[in-house]
Amino acid sequence: MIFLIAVLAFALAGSWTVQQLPFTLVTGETVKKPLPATMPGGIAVFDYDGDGKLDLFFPNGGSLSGGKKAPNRLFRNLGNMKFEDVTDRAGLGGKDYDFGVAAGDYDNDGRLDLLVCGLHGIRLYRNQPDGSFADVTEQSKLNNLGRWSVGAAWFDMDNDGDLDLFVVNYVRWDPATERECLVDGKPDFCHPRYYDAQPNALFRNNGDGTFTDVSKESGIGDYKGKGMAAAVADFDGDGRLDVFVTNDRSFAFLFRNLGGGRFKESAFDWGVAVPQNGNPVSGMGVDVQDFDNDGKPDLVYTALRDETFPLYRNLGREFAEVTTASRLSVLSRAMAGWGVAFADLDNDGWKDIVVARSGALTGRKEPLSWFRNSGDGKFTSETLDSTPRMHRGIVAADLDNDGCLDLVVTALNAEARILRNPCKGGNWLKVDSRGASVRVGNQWRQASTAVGYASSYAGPLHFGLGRATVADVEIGGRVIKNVPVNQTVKP
Amino acid sequence: MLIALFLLAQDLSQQGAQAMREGRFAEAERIYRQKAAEAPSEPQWQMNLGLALHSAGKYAEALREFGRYLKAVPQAGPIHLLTGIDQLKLAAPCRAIGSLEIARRWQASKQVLTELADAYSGCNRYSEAAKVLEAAKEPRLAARAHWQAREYDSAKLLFDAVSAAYANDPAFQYEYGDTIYRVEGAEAALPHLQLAVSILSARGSLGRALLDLDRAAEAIPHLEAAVQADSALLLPLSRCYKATGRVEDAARVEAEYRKRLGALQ
Repeated sequence: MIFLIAVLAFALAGSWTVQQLPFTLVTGETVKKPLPATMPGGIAVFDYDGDGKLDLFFPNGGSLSGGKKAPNRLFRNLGNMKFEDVTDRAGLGGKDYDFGVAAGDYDNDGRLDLLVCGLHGIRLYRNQPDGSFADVTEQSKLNNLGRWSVGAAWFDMDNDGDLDLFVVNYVRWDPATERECLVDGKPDFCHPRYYDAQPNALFRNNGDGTFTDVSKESGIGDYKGKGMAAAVADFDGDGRLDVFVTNDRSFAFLFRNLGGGRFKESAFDWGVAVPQNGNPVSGMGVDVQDFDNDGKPDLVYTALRDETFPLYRNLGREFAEVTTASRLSVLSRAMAGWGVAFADLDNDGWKDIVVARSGALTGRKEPLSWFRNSGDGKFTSETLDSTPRMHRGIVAADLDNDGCLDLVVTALNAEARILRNPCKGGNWLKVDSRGASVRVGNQWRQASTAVGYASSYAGPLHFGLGRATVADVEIGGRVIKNVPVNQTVKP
Repeated sequence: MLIALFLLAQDLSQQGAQAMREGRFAEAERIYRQKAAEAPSEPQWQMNLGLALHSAGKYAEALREFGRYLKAVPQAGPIHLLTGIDQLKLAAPCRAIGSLEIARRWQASKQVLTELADAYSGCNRYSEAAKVLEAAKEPRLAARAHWQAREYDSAKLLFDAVSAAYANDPAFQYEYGDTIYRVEGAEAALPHLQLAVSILSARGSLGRALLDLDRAAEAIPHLEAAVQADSALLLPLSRCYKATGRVEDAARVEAEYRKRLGALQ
């Protein structure tokens, strides 16, 4: 079925066009408020058919009491913001109650595959040449032991040229023992303290289509959290990719890659376990990018009301929390956030922060937020779409190939939306780096398949360039000089 | 207030009324208990008995009598007020809310609103308490309730409005300073928090604000003092030690933080 997305409204901030997709995120929420019902909402933005246009995949929930699953959906981008629902043809409807997704070419065949995270485990879908996906979970030997996973990240942990897999596991949940929790006398979702934490999982790619669970020997499995999201980057500059994990109402993890398949949890040593005020927060979505253009990957994550959205500047051997100095503490204090992404929405050469906001347990709806990077270490608050909804996932991606980052967002029990960038900013470059991190001018961008909450982006890396007309591009140590702007560079 | 209630209670026996007026509540109780037993179909005797018990501080017994009366006369606003007050006296603020809300519909007087706000506050429903206190025209108390509800923008408006009257009140300066810290940032909060150092938790906020402003050495004594009341302050204290070169102290305090806070997760 081909359809035109209905144009619903014009938002603020320079006529961002808000458009609606025929995808409803079904939570299966009942009066008893089962915990999983507040957790869905991931998004994958990836070019599954290699036509140069970014496609969209949405995991979905459904009934939590034995009823029907709401199908996951794959939308093929036809250009000009037209999309085609190709879920059935692709075989991606799924069977579990699903939350998150990670897109990556695990078998190096040039086609992007999907890892879907669900209430009862993970499913790996291999992208076939005919546009369909094959469920290869069993053949791949990926087994999350039935744990509830909310997100995942593909990354090459051992620099052997293929993608390994980090899976973010949340808590142990059993509908038979779900307790009733009351807030102001009314049933509400229970606080995470009532659930047992779970260890995350790490799977090494064997290079032959199968994986080995290395959670235990890597050290990852020694740490139980209530994982919400992961961000991958070489934080310490040693050439190996590390993993940062937010946890719900408990200390965050920073798994530094020591090489040889071993990781060391170093969040306290690096000053990112908890905000420096000492108050533990509900870590939600996370993103990693270099927001201050100093060449090192920084971190931002979302949290709940009065916790602020902590922002950390990478100093090379530790992080400095700059939530207050950047004014994010004041700007975000009254907000609750889920999905988050560094994205240069106005192409001025400084990565902004966008947040999909809403309360967690209380059901408080909130609008989206755009924190504009002033380039002096400070942020200002802009309005994108003032409609309050129970937002969850957000991914920034150039869906119409006009050089500006559009936004895809999900919200509980609501249709997914696209916010089309009016594209009135500066020049740009996109680099199809195929997983390598890229420097353009003085900007650096991490290629990370995990972004924000439960979501994934696996497309060209975008750089806003302001008034520059040419820029040097560095990909994997190779420098291309004086590349003219406003094009996509393919190495 | 009781006098007003006496006026409402037209059927007080002369003896019982005399005893109540003279503060002989045990005697009044005896008289009204007898009357109530003699004429169980006349609910005013239960009300009068409840009044006597309430006046004698026998709140649980008074509640029983008021309950019986209200079954017969459900719209008796003053008795709902007394019922709410008795529940507050019995440390049951959440249960008091319903009665006091009915009393508010009867008469939104300052006393009713103040009691209702106490009930909401006691039930940790600070946001509702704040709204009631605003209706009662108690901006200082309403500001505190908004602050307790973490509604800092609303709190600040009210704090701003009354700040001149509380310039030397450390409790006010703590709540105001903490609010400004969250709404405007550390620098603006500092002058207020510095006026509140006699309050331990204010020293915690002051220490955090100083750390935010990269004034770790100044933050240390405040955090060291306040940490006994708030284990979360161990982390900023550790950061301050580290920033001032006290590496071993930083490690020790951070380990203590992880031990104490980790156990809560």
